Amino acid sequence: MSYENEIDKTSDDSGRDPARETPNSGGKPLRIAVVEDDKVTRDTVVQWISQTPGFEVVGAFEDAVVALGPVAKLMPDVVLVDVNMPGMSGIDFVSAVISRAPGIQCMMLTVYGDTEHIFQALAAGASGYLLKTTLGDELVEAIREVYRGGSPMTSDVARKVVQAFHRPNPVESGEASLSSREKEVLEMLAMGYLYKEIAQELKVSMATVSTFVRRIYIKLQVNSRAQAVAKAKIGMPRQGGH
Amino acid sequence: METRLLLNDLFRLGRSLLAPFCRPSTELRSTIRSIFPILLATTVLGTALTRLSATEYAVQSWRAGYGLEARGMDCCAIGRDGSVWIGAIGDLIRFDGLRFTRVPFDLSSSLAGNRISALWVDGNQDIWCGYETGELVDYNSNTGRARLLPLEWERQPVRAIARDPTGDLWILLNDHSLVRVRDGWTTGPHNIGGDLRFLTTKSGRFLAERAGGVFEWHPGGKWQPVDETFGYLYAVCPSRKEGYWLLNIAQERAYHVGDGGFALETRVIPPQVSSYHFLETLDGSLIAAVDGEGIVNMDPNGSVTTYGVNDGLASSWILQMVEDADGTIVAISSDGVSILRAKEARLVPGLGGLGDTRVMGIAGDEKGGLWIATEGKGLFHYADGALRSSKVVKEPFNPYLWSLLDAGVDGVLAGSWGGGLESGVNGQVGPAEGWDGTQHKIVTALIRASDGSIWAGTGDGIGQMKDGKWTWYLRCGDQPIRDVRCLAAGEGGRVWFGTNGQGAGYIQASKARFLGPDLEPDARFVTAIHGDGAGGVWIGTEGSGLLDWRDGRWTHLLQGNGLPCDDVFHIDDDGRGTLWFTSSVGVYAISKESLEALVDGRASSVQPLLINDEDGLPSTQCMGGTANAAYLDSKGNYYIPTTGGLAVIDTRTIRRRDSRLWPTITQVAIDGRPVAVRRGQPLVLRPATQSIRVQFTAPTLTHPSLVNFEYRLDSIKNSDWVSLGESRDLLLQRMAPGTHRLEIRAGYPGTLATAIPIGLDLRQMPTLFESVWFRVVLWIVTIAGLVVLIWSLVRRRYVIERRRLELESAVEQERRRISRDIHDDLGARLTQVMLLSQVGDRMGPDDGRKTIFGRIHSTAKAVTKALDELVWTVNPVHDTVEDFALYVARIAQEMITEAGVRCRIRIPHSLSTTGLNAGARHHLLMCMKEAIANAITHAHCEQIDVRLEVDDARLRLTVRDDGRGFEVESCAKGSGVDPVHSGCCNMRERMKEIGGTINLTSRPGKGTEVSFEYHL
Repeated sequence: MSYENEIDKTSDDSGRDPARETPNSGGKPLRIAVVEDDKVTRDTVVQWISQTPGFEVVGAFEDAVVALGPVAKLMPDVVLVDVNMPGMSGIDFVSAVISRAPGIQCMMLTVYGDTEHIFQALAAGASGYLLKTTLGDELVEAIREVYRGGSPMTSDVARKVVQAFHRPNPVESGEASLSSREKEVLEMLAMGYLYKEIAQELKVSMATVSTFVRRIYIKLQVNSRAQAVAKAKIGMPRQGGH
Repeated sequence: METRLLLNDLFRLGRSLLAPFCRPSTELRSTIRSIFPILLATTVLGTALTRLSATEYAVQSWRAGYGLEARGMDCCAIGRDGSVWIGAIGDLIRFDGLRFTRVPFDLSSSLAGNRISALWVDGNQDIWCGYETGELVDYNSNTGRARLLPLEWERQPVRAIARDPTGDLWILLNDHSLVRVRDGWTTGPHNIGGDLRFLTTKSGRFLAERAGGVFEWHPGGKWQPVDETFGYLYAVCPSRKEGYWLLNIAQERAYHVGDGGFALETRVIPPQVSSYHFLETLDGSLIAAVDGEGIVNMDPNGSVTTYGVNDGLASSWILQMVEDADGTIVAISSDGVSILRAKEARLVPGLGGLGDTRVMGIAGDEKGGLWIATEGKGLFHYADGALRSSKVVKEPFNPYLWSLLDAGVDGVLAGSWGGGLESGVNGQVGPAEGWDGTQHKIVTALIRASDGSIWAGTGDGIGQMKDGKWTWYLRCGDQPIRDVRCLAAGEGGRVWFGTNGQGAGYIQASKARFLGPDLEPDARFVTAIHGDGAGGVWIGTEGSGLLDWRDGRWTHLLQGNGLPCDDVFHIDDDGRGTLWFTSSVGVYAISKESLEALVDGRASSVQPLLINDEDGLPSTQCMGGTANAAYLDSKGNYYIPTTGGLAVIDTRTIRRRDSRLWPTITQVAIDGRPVAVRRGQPLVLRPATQSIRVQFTAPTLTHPSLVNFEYRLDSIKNSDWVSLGESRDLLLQRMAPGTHRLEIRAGYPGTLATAIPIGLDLRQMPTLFESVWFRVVLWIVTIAGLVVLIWSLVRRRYVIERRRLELESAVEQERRRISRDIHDDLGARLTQVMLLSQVGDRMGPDDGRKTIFGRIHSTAKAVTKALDELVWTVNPVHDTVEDFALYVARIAQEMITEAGVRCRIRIPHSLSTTGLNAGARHHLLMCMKEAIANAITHAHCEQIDVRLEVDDARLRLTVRDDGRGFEVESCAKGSGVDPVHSGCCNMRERMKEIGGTINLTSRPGKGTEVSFEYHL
């Protein structure tokens, strides 16, 4: 799967971390860590990223539990995490690693269209996701985008998010409720609008749409945490501090 | 009552005053003189025919308030069944010999009077009761119904009732008027005048007697005076032979007037017998009620006995007497009822000298005198009414004498208990000569054998004295003979002996042997023995009944065979075909013929004639245990020592009694409530009746206390007779529904088996639960219930099985689909990947390798996608509307976006988690994919809208494009050739399969809308 949404690389500054305003080429390369149990995939991903200039693989881990300590220590810029792993799942890993090293950006690696897991990972604090089939240039582009603070959101994830926000929430938190603009963006995404179309429709820049999406992510995390607190015993994924 | 007594007195006074003036005329005297020889002859003849000794009566009385709950008894009559009916104040009373029972009339409301003043019993058990108030009630003891006759005469006391041989009922009223009742109608008057007595002679003449004359009713319709030749009469009674007896007080004569008008017999009667009421008894005596004295019995021999209050009579003012078939007389007075039974046994008079001493043995001498052996007072001789004690002339003499034998000129021999044999001659007594007093001290039996030798049974052997010499039999085989109690002479010089503990035996040809084989041990205690004249022997025991031994074969008689008790103390043969036995319940006689029949097995019981205390025996306990415990002399006098004294029975004049009894039901009460029983009709018992109490009796005045009853219910299979003993009361409880016949029979011991029973039909109505239809309904309901149960079980199993098969089939179908998908889709694509990679492998770097890899990539991607879809369809986690919605949205978006068409998805913001099964998900998804593919391929559209609407009951998925559209009709008629049409038909098939509908709207140029509806 590729991104249906074109990411506007020259979006406005709102919500963007100035510290991560790193050029794509030259300067410090992006430090990447990979947590993937399948050796072939792991090696392929590591090989691909290593061969791409401006990227440096600082660690590759087979086991999430083993990786937890080193990753928090290494403080890579982006961690690629497989969703399905034996033992500790990728979602739990995201949750745990973000609580230890809050600055780390996690990208989920997943097989075809596992919306449920993607959604859970996003709710746990992941910044984006990639299909394992989408290696190559798209992969590095997505990593860059995420690093820059971009927030990719596909229609089906959006629909999932809509469902999540429409679920009766026992702890109605002010912060967690979406603004009307954010709702609008989310619903349009869910209906199949592209970022570009949304920007045209709402007469804002694509970067602004991206910012709205970023905020939606954050609020989703807050919302999910509130739900987790309310339904702790039901076994929602544990949320790290953010 | 006072009026009645006064009237009687006046009437009798009148008769006695008139008597002297009514002597026979001179002509009449000459007639009498001429017929005197005849009279004398008949008198002598009559006397000769009757018994030699006068009948004595034993009196038993019930006085009002003492065993008799009635008063004012006025009249009585005896029924054919033996019941004595007594008219009293308030009630009709039935006396069955033991008890007085009131007969309840259901007429009390319509009956003015309550005192019955006259009674008449018809042969067919109709009891006519005349009341002091003039009413007449007909009570039928068979049906229990009482009928009040309409009163058609002046209200006055009924004084007498009788039925003439033509069947008319005659009623004498208090004013001496006569009423004839014929079929319920009265005719008359037929006045004769005076206080009448009705009588019917044996030849059927209907007579009425009034002071001074006898009238005879002629069926022509007239009362005519009977030719009067016997002077002024005082009373008349029917004779047992013919004609009637006439009492002439003035002449002090009783005349038996035959049907020819002549006196057949004349008896002198004592002057005091100014009797108003008398009758001829069974034995030919005249017995008269004499006011103020009681009852006077005038024997044909001329002896007169008077029974008064001192003799046990309830009153000396007897109002009426009746005699039953056995010769027992019932006499009633206004305040008591007395029964006079002929004494068959009497105390031997003149034995006062014995005091209380028990008589242990008795024997006769040649002159008709008696030898009496006593317990402690020695030997006595009794002759001509005088008792003489024998003087002891020689010591040692033991006065405890147990056995006796008259030795003719040698005097008498007496066996003592402890002193050996004593001998008495001429009033002197002492030890017998030739007897070893030290050896054989106890002598219990003495007999004379046919050869003249004397035999003595002792405590330690049997001795035989012949020619003044004693021979001893001390052993029997290796067994010593001990405690001999009785001896009897048999045929062929055989001497029978019985012992107390060793059984019986005999001595023959100087050899003793015991009878074998052994019976039960009790039968070894022999008290009496008597040769049966046929080579065998009768053996009496104490407690084990009577036994017969014949050639080694035993016959055993007990109470069950008719014996009055199981004791036999002495056996005697009267030489006229009857054996006499003494016992602990009296004396009884059994014909030898019936005993032989029993021994031969022709009969199972005997019918003894019992004589006990009711018959004058001073005590029923006879003395037993010795050989001489009774003595039957050649004249037939049977002397029996009893604990009450020495009694004598004249065996020749003893009356044969009718042992037949007529049981009758006196009352039936259902649940404590008396009910009327209609003969011939079953007694209907209402449902849930708890108990039926039946009271019955067998009326008799002869040994009523010995009557036993048995009953059986024939509804019980193989029902046997159940003994009730002497009880006259039966309680049946909780009868089973249906008809039952209760039978009751009565008899003396031994006669029950041949007794004729009476029956009572009972019909117990079933309760609701016992009724037939209820059972039928219950059965039907039960069977129907079972059928329904089995049917429902079978059906349930069938349904379960069908569901299982359906499920299996669905699962199988799904598996087949999945396998097909894997094979067709994934398999084919993976094969492509395999082929392409082989091709790529052979190619050089520039031979379009990139294209090959691109194709591999895209094929692999498609495989992944297909796999994802397959997994999604199969995984039951996704069986919800929410999952379905999100998935179809993604697939739709992917398809549409990939085709470069603008995509708009609308799904509800909030989706339910309602279930949606895999089949429905799969087909809906395929349908949508097909619709989208159609739109992409054929519609040339710019935008495709996919909308999902979900409510509680249904799910609607709409695919709409803004393309060129088409005519819907052509799709509906699709032949399957056109892919659009074929797809359309596929979608229809799929929706049909999951029970959903498809709706297609399209118009050329206006786009197409396909919507799928599915009911959740």
